[in-house]
Amino acid sequence: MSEIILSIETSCDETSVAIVADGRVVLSNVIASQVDVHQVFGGVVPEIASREHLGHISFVVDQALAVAKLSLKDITAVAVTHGPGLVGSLLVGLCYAKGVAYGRRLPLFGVHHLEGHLYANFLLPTPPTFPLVCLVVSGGHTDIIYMERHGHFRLLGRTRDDAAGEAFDKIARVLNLPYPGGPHLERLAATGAPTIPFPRARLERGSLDFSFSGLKSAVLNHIHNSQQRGEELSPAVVAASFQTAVVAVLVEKLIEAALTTGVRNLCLAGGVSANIALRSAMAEGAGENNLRLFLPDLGLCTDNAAMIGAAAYYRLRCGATAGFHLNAHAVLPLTSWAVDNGDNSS
Amino acid sequence: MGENLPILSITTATPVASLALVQETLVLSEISFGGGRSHASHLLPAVDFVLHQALVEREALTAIVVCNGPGSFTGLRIGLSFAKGLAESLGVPLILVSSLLGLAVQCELYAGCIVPLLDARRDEYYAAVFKSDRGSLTRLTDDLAVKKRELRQWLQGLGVEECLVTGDAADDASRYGPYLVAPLGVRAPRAGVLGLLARSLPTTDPRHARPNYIRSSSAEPKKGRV
Ligand SMILES: [Zn+2]
Repeated sequence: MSEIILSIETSCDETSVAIVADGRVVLSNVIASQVDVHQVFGGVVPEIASREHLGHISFVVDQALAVAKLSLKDITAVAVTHGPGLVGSLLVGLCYAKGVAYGRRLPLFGVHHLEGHLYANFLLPTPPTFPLVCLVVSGGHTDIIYMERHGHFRLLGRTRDDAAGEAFDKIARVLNLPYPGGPHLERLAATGAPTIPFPRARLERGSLDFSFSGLKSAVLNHIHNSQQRGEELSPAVVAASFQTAVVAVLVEKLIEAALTTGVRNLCLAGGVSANIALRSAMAEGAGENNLRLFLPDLGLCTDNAAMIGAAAYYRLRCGATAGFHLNAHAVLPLTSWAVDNGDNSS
Repeated sequence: MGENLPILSITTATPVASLALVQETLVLSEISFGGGRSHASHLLPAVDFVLHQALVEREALTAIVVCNGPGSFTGLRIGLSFAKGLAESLGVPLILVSSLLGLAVQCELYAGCIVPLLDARRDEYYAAVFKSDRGSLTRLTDDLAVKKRELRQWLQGLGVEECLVTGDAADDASRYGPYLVAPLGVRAPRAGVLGLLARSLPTTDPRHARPNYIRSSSAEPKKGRV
C-alpha cells in the first residue's frame, strides 16, 4: 500500500507544496519564493506575505502535481504546517488544505513547523536511527531536541534571546549586506579570517541553552569602536569571526547534548543548517567524539513542504489525524504526538 | 439549467460568518456563527453541518459561492483559501459575491437608496450605494472605503440625502446624517442570501479568484519579522 501525501507549507514567505510517497520519496517539492517582494522592505511584511500565498497557492499545487505526474485523485492524505509562524500566512495553507482534504475525503494532518524541519533528516537515503538529538537552527529557533522514537520530542535546550539565524540577519544588516542577510553573511565570512576573539556565550554549567545577545553586542561594539578610532574595518573579518563564534557554540552544545544523554545520532535541521561552516564544524566535532551526524540535503534545510510530508507520514502510520477544527497558531509548542508506551522518559 | 443543483455558500468577511446550502430558489440549510476570531477553526465543521442538514453529499455540489469582500482581510482569505481547495478538489467553479451587495439585497424591500456599511477600521467604512425600486436593485457605486467623517459629504455628492443604512456599522453611521437604520435582523451577512444570488452571477476559475481588498497592502502597517 502506497501513501501519497500532498503537503503544504506557508508559515513565512515561501509558498511550498510537495508530494511525498511513503514518507521517503519526494515526487515533487515546489517552492514559490516571495523574497523579491519583501526585499524592498528589508523583511517580511505579513499582510503582503498572506496576499501572495493566496494568489499562488493553487498554481503551486498544480505544479507540484504536474511534476509528480499525478492528479488530486491519486493523493491519499493531506498535510499542512499549522504553526508556529506568521498566522495570516499559515491560515492560507491551512484553510486550502482543509478544503482539499474535505473535498476528497482524505485524512488531514497538522504538522509543527520544527517537526517538519527535523524530519528533513528522514528524507536522507540513510535516515537516522533513534534515539537522536537534533539541533534545529533557523531565523526563529535555536533548539536542541531529543527524540526517542517517532513523534516523541523533548526540548533539551533553546535560545534565551535571539535565534542564531536572527543574530546572522542582524549582523548582516549592520554590515550593510542585502536582504536576506544570513546567506550573504556566510558568503562574506568565507572571504575573511576569523581573527577577532568574540565571546562564546557560556551559560551556567550543565545548561544546553543558548544566548546570542552578548555576542551580538560585542560585534556591534567592535564595529562602533573601530569607527570611533578611525580604523579600517574589514567586514569579511568581522563576518568570519562572528560566524566562527556562533558555530563554535552550536557545535559544542549539540555534542554536549549527545554526551550527556548517551545518544550516538546527531541531526541538524532548519535554515541555518545550510551554513557550510556549521556543517563542516559539526562533522568535525561528531568525528572527534565518534558520533554519527546526519545533514539534510541543502535544498531541504530552508522552508519547504517535502519535510512536512515526511513528518506527516509517521503521524499517518499512527493515525494521529487532525480534526475539522484544526487551527493555525503563531506560537505553538512542539509537543509529542506519539502514544506514550508507559516509560517516563519524557 | 437542470434541477437539484446544490451550491455551498460561504461568507467569512465579518466577525459573524455564515454558511448555507442553497438549491435553486431554496435555502436548504444555513448557519451563522461568530463571537470569536476563529473562523478558520469553525468553518469546516459548519460546512459539514449544513451539508448534513440538507442531506447533500459534498460530491453533489455544483458550485461554491464565496464572499470576496470587502471585509476583514484575514477573514476573506480564510473563506477564499478554503473555497479554492474545496472547489479545485471537487472540480467545480467559484462564484464571487460582494459582501455589500449581499447586505443590500437583504433590504431590497425598502424603496430608495440603500447604503451597506462595514467597519473598515482606521476611521473608515467599506461602503457602496444601491437604489431599490420595488425589489429591483441597481448598484450606483463600486465597493470602496469612505472616511467616516466624510460619509455625508460623499453621499450628498451622489445626490443622496436620505437613505437606509445597514451592515455592522449602520448604528455608528446614523450619527452622520438623517439616515434610517435597517432592522437588526437583516444587518448581518447571510450566506443563504448570497447563495440565492449565485444564479445571476458569473462563475470564476477558483485558481484565479482573489479578494476585493479595496486597500493596498502597502497601506498596512509594516510589522515585519524575518
Ligand atoms: Zn523554518
